[in-house]
Amino acid sequence: MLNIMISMVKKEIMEFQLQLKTILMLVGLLAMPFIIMLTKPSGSILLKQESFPQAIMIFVAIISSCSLISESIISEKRYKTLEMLLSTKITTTAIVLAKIFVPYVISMIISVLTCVIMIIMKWFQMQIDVVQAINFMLFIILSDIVICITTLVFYEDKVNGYVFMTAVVSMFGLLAAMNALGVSLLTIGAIPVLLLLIVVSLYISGLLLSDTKLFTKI
Amino acid sequence: MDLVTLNRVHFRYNKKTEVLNDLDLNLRKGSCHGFLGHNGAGKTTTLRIIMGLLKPENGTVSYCDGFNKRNNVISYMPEYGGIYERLSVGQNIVFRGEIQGLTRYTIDNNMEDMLSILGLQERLNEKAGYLSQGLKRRLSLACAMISNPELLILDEPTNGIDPVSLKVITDTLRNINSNGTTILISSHNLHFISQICGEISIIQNGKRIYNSTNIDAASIENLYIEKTNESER
Repeated sequence: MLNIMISMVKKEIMEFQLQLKTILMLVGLLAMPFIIMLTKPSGSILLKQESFPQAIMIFVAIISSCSLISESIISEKRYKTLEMLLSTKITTTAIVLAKIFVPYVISMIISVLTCVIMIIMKWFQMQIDVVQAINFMLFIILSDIVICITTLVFYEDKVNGYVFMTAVVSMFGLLAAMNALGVSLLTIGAIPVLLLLIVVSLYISGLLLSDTKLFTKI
Repeated sequence: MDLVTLNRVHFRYNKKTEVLNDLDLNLRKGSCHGFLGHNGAGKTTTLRIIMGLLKPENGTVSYCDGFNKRNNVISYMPEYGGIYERLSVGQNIVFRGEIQGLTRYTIDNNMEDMLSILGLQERLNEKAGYLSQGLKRRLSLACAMISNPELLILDEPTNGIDPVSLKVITDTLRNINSNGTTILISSHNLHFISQICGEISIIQNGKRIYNSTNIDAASIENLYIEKTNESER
């Protein structure tokens, strides 16, 4: 069974290689600390400036694992390969573990790279308490596992649930970015930004929904 | 001897529409069984039940001794797709062999024969997504055949393919059937079915309305129309 599991993981890695979407996402996520740094944020009511690096790392881990898992499952459904997989001797557990494992490792790598970039940019200013840093990394690792599993479970159960969850995640992501840019939700100027936020979230959900129309329930 | 027997099977999706209604079906070992019916008649659902992907609400599905999917005995070729478009032809076949628990040595040996029979040897390193529809269907068949299954289930194998690919697939299926593999084909292509199947079943509204081992290529179309019309009345 271990060999079958390894084959499944190998296949997942091969599928992720050289995907334009993945490359764009990686570049976008890695560019985030630079973009936020350039805007010189001053903090807001929801997020203090000192918490930006942590918020960025969590955001990066969540978005990357969600996107990678959903893309992986959507393509299995679209090309009818999930049916084929389930008809073989591979167990559902092995499929689920492989689907979680690869995006998880990739999202952790992206998260660590983001951390390295922020250290290079002296955001942490080398004032990190080692115990606190380890605790923080453990928190990210655990929350990313939870996100990976939740994405998979939601997607497997209900397409609508999955789309809803993606919309919520993307809204929170944008909310975090907005906060990081120092925009307070209590100001009148925040209304157009909030509207934009809703439109973008709906747009993302719409894109995903159009993809999932190809979904055939097994 | 029957390999798979479906006895009075009922099935509904989401407990609403009844897809299968008292369906009986017997698959004889070593036979090539054509499964015919209109769109939405319940053919694909039946195939999924045989593969164990769906559980019938009522009725029984029984397999002959020692027959279950854990022993590599069932292989499936879906209506479309069934291959990883971002992987190469070779990677697709190797992956399918590996998840069926075959050793790399066995896979390489089987793959060589498979590629030459299906005319894919020149495409080994080509990405599956770049192949034509006909070649994709051949690759999907190669993937399904790599583990030498005891039962090969094909869902609309002739959809959207050219006459050359159709001939290659027909010859390949005849060949593996003569070597003892049981084949179950769901298709709308009556000519194709009459060419390779020794037995046909017609299904309408989730129920088998006709079964015969006497297939005449010249009259199969009239027979199909007559039986389905009779059932409608």
